[in-house]
Amino acid sequence: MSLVELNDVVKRYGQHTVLNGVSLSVDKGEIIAIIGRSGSGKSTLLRCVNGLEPIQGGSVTVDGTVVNDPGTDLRKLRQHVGIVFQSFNLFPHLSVEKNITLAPKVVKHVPSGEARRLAENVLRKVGLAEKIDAYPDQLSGGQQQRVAIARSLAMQPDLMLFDEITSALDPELVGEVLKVLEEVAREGMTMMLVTHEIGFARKVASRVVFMHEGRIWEQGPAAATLGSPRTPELETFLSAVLH
Amino acid sequence: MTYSFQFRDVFAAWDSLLDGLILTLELSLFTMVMGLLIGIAGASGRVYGPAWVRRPIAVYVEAIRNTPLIVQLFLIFFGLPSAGIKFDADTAAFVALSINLGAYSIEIVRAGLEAIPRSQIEAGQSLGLSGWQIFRYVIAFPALKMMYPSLASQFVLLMLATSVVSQISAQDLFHAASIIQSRTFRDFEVYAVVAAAYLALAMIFRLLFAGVYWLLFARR
Repeated sequence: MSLVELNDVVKRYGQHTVLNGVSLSVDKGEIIAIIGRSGSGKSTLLRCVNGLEPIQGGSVTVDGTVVNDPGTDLRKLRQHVGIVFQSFNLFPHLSVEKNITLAPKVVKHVPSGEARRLAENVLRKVGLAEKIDAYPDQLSGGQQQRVAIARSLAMQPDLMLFDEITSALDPELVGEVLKVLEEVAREGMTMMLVTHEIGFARKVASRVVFMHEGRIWEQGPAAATLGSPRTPELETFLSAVLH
Repeated sequence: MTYSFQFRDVFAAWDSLLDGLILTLELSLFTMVMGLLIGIAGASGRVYGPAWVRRPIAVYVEAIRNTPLIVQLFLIFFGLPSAGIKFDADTAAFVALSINLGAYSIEIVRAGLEAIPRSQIEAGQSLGLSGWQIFRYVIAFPALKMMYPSLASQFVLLMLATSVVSQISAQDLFHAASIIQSRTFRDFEVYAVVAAAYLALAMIFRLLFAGVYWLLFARR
């Protein structure tokens, strides 16, 4: 059975339909790159997976749990589904260590000493071991985003969602974040990432999903889909972002 | 103009001035604590509560902020006894001041809570934190830091406003001044001394609040 199963998902904001019948299944270990113009519904799609966005139709299932069932304990679900945001969303009043250990401590009741070691471990993974006592405002955007990834990793999720995590960064900082992402991918993490980095999608993703007007317009293996698009919409989109 | 200042009679009554000063201080401090509690509880209800909690709080806040403090004070001290609820002057003063400061505090705390970006709350939710945990670990500190300056200056205003309680015969600093004035007819001197006392109190509170700010927020 697939880890994530979206079945005919409909999402509306008032009269405006953002997702118009989206079906997608993601297997364990897959890396799905979701691309498309802004407003095509790709971020919304991602946010439906961990229940940040309620949906108006269809169903979202993660690891057998129906996310859109009102009886579902979203807190429990979210302990297994990490998300990293475009704007990092680190907690500004907490040190890097406390940002990372907060959820393990108060949600999973990991003891302090162990939590500190956990923080050291995940920070080493993102190459920021020496920043453990720093505060978010002392870090560059790229470093903050790597801490956000570490914070998410510390919950040892089965699935990670990345919502345009390099879009708010200065161009010269994008590389370091993508490198970390590749590292996470190499360890076999199941990932869904919304991205504008087509080159990165081609290199890392196992599958590319192209969203257009609230639907999945085209999808397939990364190299084939990006190399020879079947729909004029994807072709137009690709030529726009690649130039 | 040939007015010769003569402070001797005013200073001779230093003990009643001191008693008044102590009541002013007590009233201010108790009211600040109460106002803060009402502010936090009320603002939480106003921001996160269901409609049947939000509405009455909104009505309370608007009713208090749009009527004079002295009218509120008189309603409680002279009005409520008709309904069988009697307070002595000091208690009535404390109750009226707390209700008054509470309303202003709710607005200040609410602004602080609402200034926390939605994305911070989402980050907490995404990590599996409960609503209470998000409030306690994610929202409370940055919100308090943001609202602190407004809250501190509201508290100083409250301290100055306590002077109206003399109108219901609570024996605060201003009340003591009025008594001395009526005995000595040294109006200029006695009110100058009292003005200086309020000024000093205000400065002391501001210093204290600045110190607390430094302790809580400026250090790392």
